[in-house]
Amino acid sequence: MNIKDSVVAKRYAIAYLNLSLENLNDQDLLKIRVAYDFLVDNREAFFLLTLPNISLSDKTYLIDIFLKKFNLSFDLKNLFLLLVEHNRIYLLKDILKAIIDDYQARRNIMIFDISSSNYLDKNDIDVISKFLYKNTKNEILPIYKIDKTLIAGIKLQSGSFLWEYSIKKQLAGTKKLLYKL
Amino acid sequence: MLSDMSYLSIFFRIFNFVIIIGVFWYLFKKYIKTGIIKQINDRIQYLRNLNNERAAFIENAKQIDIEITQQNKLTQNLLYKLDKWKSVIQTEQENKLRKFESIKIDIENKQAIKNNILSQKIVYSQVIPQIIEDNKIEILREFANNEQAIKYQKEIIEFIKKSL
Repeated sequence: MNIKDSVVAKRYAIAYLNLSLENLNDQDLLKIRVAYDFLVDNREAFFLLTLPNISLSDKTYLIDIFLKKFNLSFDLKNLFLLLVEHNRIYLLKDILKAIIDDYQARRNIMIFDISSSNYLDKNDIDVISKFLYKNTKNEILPIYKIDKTLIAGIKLQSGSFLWEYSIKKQLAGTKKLLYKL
Repeated sequence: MLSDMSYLSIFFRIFNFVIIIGVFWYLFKKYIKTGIIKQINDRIQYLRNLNNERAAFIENAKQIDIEITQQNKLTQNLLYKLDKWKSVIQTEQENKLRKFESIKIDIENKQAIKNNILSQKIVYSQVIPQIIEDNKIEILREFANNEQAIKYQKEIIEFIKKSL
């Protein structure tokens, strides 16, 4: 993405949040985040929306399916349709990212991906959230998943913060050290 | 006193003597003088030739002396040049030897660096990945039992709790 697209995406995100911030909650944000992750993995998901010979009603139908699939707020529908109208649907992924970032900044919260090699119960996640709050001074929105590639350990990651204590990391450190020798 | 006969006789005697002298002179002049003069001239010519040869020999000897002197000078000059040339050749050989030694050391150093790089490459491309792989297998074996991984994870949670 070039700088111009980035600036445009941010403008759409700011405009959307200015209109809908009051109606959004943290759970909505997490849903947006899931949708964003889907778009990162499936870049061509909205290819059909870029085609001019697809009717607007079909495009609207596709957007509805997407919103239902990720249980997203229907406030977003207007944004999607606006992007279709402006032929800027290709910016959707970046707009969602900008919405996530801007929401976190406005509400003073941080989404954290918490990964562990084995299952963590709610108490453990609460402990980790407190630990993250202590270090970031932000409310924490945890997204938890099991990551077996860690071998054993825990990884905490947000846009600008990474904390990892795992066998995978120690192996990577050993590898780096061996190559430095 | 002498008689007329006697005068006549003396006269004839003198006359005969003069004739005999004249005949001898004539014979001497005709047969002997020419030969003697020729012999004397030959001798003189011979002596002249000898003298000329002597002068030529002396001149030749002088020329040879000059040539010898010149040859000596040339020889000295040549010897000097030879010495100089030998010295230059020796210096050149020493320089070549030094250069050769320097190149030899350079080649040895480069070879040592190459060997070092090669061994490093082998370590990087084979030994280290093998160590890491072995280590990883060992660790995976260690943590294959979930209990170990859970224990490790709990220790981390405990560590986080303590830092709160």
